Amino acid sequence: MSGQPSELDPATVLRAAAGVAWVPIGDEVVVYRVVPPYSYVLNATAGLLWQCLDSTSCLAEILDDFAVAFGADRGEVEKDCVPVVRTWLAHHLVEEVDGA
Amino acid sequence: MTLLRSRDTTRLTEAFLRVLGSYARPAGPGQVRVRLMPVVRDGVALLVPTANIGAVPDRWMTAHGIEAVRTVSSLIDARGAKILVDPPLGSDDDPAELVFGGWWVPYSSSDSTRSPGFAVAEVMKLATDVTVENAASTLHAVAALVTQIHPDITPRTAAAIKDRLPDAVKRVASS
Repeated sequence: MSGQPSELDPATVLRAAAGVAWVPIGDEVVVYRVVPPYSYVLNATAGLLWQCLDSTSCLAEILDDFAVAFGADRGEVEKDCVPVVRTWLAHHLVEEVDGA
Repeated sequence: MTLLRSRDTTRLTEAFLRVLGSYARPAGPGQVRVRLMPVVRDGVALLVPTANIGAVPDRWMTAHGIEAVRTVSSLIDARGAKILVDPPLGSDDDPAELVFGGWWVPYSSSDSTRSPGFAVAEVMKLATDVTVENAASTLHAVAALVTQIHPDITPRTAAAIKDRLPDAVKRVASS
């Protein structure tokens, strides 16, 4: 996908971008971008990852917690999750927190 | 898009002024305006796409005990699950309240309302005047409404609408 960063610093702290709203419903999360208007429906796992982007925790910490919570290999978790986060960055759904 | 076919100029004028009136009333906190119009029975409304229902004549509706509020959008108060019917522009009337009984979203080639999340996404396509400031409020209002009543897909043809609408309206009115 064009525009996505080739590298993602594990120390990056992310949050929902300005103009992006989200709501959990059932086991999904709906992320809505105002301009241009579009909704993204995240499944349970992606929704959990989304909700962890809390302006406070860095990506590495979140992936550590995911590996523990799911009893999964840390490397596999990173391989699965980082492309998802890159996609969100490319679609301007999330943004880096300055100075975090 | 056909809003109304009628020889009744009073009814045509009222529909026109109601549409104008709708633009004067943006959604407030806890409210969402969607591009759907109410069809009503016993004070309970089913919201349907104007473009689809426009082909169904009023006399057919009346014969089936249904009143169509011809307009291009509806204001829903999510907290009370009420539809606030816009009075015609220039009227001093307060908005009439209807019970929100259900909704049909436009037909989509995919089975796009199969889950609550996808249903919210479909309804957000119909929401009007969503801004950076009210996006979260609108999205939460839509999610609350979808949780309460999952939307159905609008039948694709006028014949299919006529086939399903009477029972659908009867069902929401009795629920």
